[in-house]
Amino acid sequence: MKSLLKFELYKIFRQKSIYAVYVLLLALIMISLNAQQAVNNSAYYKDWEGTLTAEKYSQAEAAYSELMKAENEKASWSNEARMQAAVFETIDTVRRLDETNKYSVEFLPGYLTQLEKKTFEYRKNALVLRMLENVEVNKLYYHKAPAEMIDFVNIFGTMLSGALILIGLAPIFSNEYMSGMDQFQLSSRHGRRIGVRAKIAAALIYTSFVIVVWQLFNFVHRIVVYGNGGWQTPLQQIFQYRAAPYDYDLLTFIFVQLGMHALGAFGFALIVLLISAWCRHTMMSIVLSGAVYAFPIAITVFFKIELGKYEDILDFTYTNVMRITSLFAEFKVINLFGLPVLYPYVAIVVMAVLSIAATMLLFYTMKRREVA
Amino acid sequence: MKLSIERVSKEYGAKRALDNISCELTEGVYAFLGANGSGKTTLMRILASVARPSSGRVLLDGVDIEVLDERYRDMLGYLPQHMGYYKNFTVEKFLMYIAALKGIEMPKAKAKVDELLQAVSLQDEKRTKVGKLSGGMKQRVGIAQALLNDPKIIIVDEPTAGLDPKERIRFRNLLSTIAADRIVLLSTHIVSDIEYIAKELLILKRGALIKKAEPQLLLEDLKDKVWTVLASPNEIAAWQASYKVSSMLVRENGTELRILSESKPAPHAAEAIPNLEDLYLHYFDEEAAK
Repeated sequence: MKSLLKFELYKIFRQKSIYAVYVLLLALIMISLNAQQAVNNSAYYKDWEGTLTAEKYSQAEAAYSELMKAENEKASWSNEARMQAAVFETIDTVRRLDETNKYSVEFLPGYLTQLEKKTFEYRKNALVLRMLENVEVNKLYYHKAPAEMIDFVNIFGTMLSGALILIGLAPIFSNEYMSGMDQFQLSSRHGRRIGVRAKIAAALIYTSFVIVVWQLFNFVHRIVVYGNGGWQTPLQQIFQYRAAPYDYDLLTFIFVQLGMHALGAFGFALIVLLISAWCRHTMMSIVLSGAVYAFPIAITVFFKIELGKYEDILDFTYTNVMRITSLFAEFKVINLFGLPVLYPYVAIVVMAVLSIAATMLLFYTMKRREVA
Repeated sequence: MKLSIERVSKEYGAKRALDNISCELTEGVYAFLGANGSGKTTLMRILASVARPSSGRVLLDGVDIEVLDERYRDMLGYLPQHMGYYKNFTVEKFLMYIAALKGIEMPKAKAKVDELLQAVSLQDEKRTKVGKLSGGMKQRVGIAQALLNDPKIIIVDEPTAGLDPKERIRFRNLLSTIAADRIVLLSTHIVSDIEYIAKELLILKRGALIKKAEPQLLLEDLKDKVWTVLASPNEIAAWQASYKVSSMLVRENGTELRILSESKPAPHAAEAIPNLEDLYLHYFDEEAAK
């Protein structure tokens, strides 16, 4: 297995197209990121950093009023004043988030008493209450670097992983058919089982490599531009996650996000392998795998198909699991025999089941495979 | 060791490529003789386990090869008709890859690769990329890969295609040397490849096995059916129109035609000793004419 794995890795990593596409996409992303205003404003946050107490809230409110008064007398706001105002606005947002959270925590116990115990509705609300009790949003740090790192995954990270998995892995079996090498593999001792295992292992290593490279790029780029800090900021301070009931700081969420993205990417890699095993031509393999990847985007963006109450099914597609946002952005559960199961757990189970099914089907396909 | 083919048929859609083939094979060289489309390659693919029969089965010492699975493939050395390769792999890397597929441990594989490269005279090309080799060299790489695991069953489909006469003789000798305790299955159009080494010939026509016997026994059937006649240049066309002509040899006093005929074709015709080319023409005259 070890020597076959080395050969399979060699075959994947010696494809020049993966490096060309990777460099090109990163260059385009770099241009796109630099087109935005990229300034380290951490200095404006220094005085306010840490836990936000009632006293700090009032100080910030007073300082904001003073600033407004002073600046409104001028013809236009100075850049410095605008930056200071942004800090006060953030503090105000945190205050409102904290109030909303506290309100929910105070409201829900009363609401629960109106619900019948052992019902899904009761369990769902009890769960959200338990989760919100642990959420503390009243902390302020300059968190642009981790926030941008998290945002990168939603579009750029998912695009990079998807494109490179397609280019690197779609040819993995179909190229063997096209080159005639399948005749040797299928007639050899290890060609139908250990050889397939080696291909799967190589594909997963390659997928990890793809993710690690763009995540490193993402990390270094953000740290260089926005500075190292803000990791302990509560997740809810990122706009898309304001309604998230998860008790994560940004550092923890980056790892959760990475793990979830990797799970989706591994699942997608396995389905790409399966499609490749079914296709005699690499182009067909790329097109079909690309269709799987683009499916949720095509449904919602291009064809604008209304799925109504089934729309959330799209949250569990490979692409949306890799994007992550819709799984964590708010409190969403499914009803599993009366028990509420959080979307991230559902996504883990869906990805695991799909991956196991794809792997078993792949082994079955290769066991039955005949040369053309 | 006994390889039994039991009522094997293979269909591709409506086309029947193999029709109820049954035979038994033991140690020695077996040559599959047949025209294009006769089912040779399909049968060899089934024996090499890269295709499965639509019906029937193949047994090795009484056990279905599908049941034996890896254990069967471990005994196999297969050279397909059209050899695949990675054009950017060197000869050595390619053979090491096949060795890994065959489950040969690294140090043993290295030694075996060197030994076989020597045997097929490619030791100087071990660092050459397979894509840069000539057709004959690629075929020799194919032969080497088939022998890497010291297979007990060797299946070679048109192995001498692309080899020059010297290489063909070397390959023939190599096969006959190793065939003593192995089952060697070979398909070819070139009858001289098998003339001296085949234990039995299996003649396939339109998917059916029409004959399986030792070459001498098959040639016995042609006794009194092969003749030579001397013809002038303007008589040749008439002879070709009326008889199966297997060869023509220009002599001082005319052209000597080798003819297949159930009866003596002319008073001056002389009886000849049948050979495998006559046999091939006898069974596959239309294809031979092509």
